[in-house]
Amino acid sequence: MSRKVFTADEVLTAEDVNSLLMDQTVMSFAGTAARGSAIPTPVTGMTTYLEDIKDLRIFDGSAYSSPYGLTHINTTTINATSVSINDVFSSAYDDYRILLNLTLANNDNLLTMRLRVGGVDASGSNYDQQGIEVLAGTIANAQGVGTGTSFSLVNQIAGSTVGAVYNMDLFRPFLAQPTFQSGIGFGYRGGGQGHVTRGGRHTLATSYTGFTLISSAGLIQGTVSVYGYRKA
Amino acid sequence: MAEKVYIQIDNEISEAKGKDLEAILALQSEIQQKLAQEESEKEAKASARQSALAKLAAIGLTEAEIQAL
Repeated sequence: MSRKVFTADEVLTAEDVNSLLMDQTVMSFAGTAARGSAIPTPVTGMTTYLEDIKDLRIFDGSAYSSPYGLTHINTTTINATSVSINDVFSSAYDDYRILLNLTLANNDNLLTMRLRVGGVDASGSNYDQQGIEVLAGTIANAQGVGTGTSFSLVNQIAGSTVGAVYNMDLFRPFLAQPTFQSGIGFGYRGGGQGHVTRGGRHTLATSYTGFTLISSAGLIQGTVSVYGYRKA
Repeated sequence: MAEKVYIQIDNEISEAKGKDLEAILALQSEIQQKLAQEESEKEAKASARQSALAKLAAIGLTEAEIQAL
């Protein structure tokens, strides 16, 4: 059914109420500020569409939350040696999925990651990690395991036709607790195809709101996307 | 002349300078050292393994017997 616009003095029929008001009512707002002004006291079940993030939010009685199990938070196109993504972790979610889709590197490199808050990276030697790599059919330790000042993620070789991917689950970065990560990836190292499986724990009980990706050599290009897992 | 290093914060890209550049270079140096050490240890281990295999063969073990160890 197409969207109907009522005219002055037009009869509101039961069919219009049932089909338009009861079945097709989602309130659309430019953003959370506009929504807050329009609905100062929401009631449970109110469904809204936010035009700025192009997504639905439903009021659950205490806050607006996403109806999805996995909600898109941010996608950034990256083109640098060090890429910081701010303000993606919040109280809205405890656990996150991060997708790295790398399309180009101008040097062979190992991509690493640091947690971040207030515009500052956590650079202490607090990143415990282990991992395995299958490189050209041989299983061995992944590169950069053991305690370090960043999480090691995936290798990439120079060139625009190869790339690398890594998907990571990041647990509790915003809570004032140690942050865990586990992930898998595929890239190239030397002349070989490399698959990595990694896990790690940042030992400080600090709340972080973002992260920084740092190439061990040269710039990288691609995208990084962050999603939040629904709590309950 | 050293290659310029670029830093990106959200969607803003700029040349890394000062403390930002120092932090990136320090981490890159740390990683390169760690990877070089790992490679060195890996080569030493492979060399020791080859030596051990040669000694086992020298005392009469067959290749199948060595594989069965």
